[in-house]
Amino acid sequence: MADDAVNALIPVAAVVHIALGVMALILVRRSLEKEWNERFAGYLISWMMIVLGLKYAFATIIDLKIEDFTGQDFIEGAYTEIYYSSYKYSEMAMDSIFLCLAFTLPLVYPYPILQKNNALKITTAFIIILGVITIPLDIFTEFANRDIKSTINWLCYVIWVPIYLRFLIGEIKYAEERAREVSSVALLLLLGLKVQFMIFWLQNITGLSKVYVSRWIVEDEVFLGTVSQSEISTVVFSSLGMTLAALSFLVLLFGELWRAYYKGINGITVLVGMIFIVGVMWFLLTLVVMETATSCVDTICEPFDQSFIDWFAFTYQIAVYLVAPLIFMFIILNYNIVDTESEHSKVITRIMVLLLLLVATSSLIEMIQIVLPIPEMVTSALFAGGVVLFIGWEEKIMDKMITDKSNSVGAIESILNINNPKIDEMEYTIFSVATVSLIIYGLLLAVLFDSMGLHS
Amino acid sequence: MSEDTEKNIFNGDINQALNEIFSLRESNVIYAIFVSLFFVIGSLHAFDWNKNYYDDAVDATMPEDWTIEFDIEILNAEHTEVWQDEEVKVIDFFMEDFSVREDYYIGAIFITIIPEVGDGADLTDPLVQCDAIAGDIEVNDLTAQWNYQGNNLSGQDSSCENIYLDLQIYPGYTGENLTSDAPNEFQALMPWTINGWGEGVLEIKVELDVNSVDQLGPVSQDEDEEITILVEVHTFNTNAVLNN
Repeated sequence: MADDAVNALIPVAAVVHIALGVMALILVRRSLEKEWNERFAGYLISWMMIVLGLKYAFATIIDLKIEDFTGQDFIEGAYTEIYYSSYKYSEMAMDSIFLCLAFTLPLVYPYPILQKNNALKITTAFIIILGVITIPLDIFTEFANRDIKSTINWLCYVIWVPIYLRFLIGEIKYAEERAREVSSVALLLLLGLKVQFMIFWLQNITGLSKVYVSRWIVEDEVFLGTVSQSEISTVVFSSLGMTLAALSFLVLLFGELWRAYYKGINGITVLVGMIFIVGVMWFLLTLVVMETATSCVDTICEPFDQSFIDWFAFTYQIAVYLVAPLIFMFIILNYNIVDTESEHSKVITRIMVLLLLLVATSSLIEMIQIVLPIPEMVTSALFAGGVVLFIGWEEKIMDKMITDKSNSVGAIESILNINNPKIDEMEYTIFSVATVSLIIYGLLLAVLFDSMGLHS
Repeated sequence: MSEDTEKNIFNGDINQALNEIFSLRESNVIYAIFVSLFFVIGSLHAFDWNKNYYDDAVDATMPEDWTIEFDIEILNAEHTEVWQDEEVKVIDFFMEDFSVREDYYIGAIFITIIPEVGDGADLTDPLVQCDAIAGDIEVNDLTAQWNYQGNNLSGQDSSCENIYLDLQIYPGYTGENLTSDAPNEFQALMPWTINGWGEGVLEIKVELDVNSVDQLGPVSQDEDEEITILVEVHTFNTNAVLNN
């Protein structure tokens, strides 16, 4: 029943995220000389990656279970059974923990809003409180308030967009020398967390995306036998969330175009340009499939064309499962968050870079093969070529990443006032222990709720 | 206040940190426009979603009670022919010859086999008896509900009465109004918009066995019979009415 293309990348994403998270955690723990907020950002990103990896691992298990479902199985409630099982509870618990961690990141990096000595204590306490409340609440409400829950993460728009604007204008208009190091990391952080929404920027800003939300309501209720999102979650928070993602992207787009006019095109300009094009294509494709998209509400649900499903798999999945971890890896290595100078760190960094680039390349080639009918021989040869290139250029890529480093916190210190609080080493350990406890809490709740038949 | 002094009194309060981020007028203006646009466009989408999408989507998940009304139109065909004694004939009616209107579907076929009126009796032949007529609808490739229990595929008569046969073509068709649980009109009417039923040839087999009184002489002998076959094709179009 499940389409080959849809969710094809989840198992890969699970492994990549966990591996990236663990390696980044090892590197961060060794980076004792870095600024407190760089280290804390490193811890946060590492744990975010690990938690996302766990989330995708549970999604993989669910996907494997429903792979061979027939239409009759769906009618008989087999999907509903899995939806209200410990697997789904665990997946959504990890999602809640991820949001709690992601909520904290803009408060400390690149420019820390919290700059006092108690910054880590406050954020750790906040993550625990928010997680302890959000995880069971989400399960109790049958995940019917997903868009309300995701508002936790709106803080990144609220903080990173003004930081991006402040330092972009500082660079172009006031010739602040190192301002780009801050605006670029703010942009990348926004993309890392929100790229999967920003690729729909045009249909979100025009409101065209609502046809999909309507369809999901019918699909959830009628075909999957689950609870669709609540009225307030879809009417208010879904609409606002879409608008926020689209407007933020437009700020980044026009900002980068303005910068490119004065400073020339760079990699980030190309990345933003690609998202712009993908957004326009999504808008046009939605117009083409409009009748199918609205069929659930107007008549009876008709399946989407295979090419459309492949396009969704190609763009959305690559964005969320490959582009996002690549961006975070780039931020960790390129923005001086971890120490890559020592010999041991260099080894781990090399493994990290090679693993991510090779996995990303092979997955990308597989996804291209789904969309375009390229023979396997050709894609295998392409992959082999990619491997040779990476091995040959590995040292060069590594050296470039390590030597051409940006240092956003250093750049901020040269432009704005910043306070450097004294953070005890133990506080980072407490934060990690708190996060692990939250993960165990979420998994325990998931198993207990399932065994007690919460939604049976 | 000099920059050095300012840095000295900076102690990392949240207010001070926010002041630093919002320290350029140009970026503040753009951010203010961003926030304003967010509230305006977001509110418009929320309003549009609530007014034009949400209720429709929720309605599409809930079955409602519909009455399915049938608008029936009858198409006729007639065939008259003389049968000889003990003759068996199969008369074909090609369904494509019936001009079924667009958006109409064939529901059922009703056949009437009509023997010759009075059976030829007159004053010179007062004892002429009614002939025995048997009629069958032949099971063939015509797309119909051949196994439907309510069909009447065979009939016979020897009392000068009409023989009535019928065959259900469209599954579930009775011609009577029905009720249906469906989330929308389309789904309520969906079972009644399937093409393909009633395609093929309707074959009606008629057999004649003449009854005559030989004792009264050859004048009274009846050796043939004119039989009329009337075919009524019931076609329908449906209309769904939402019950409160």
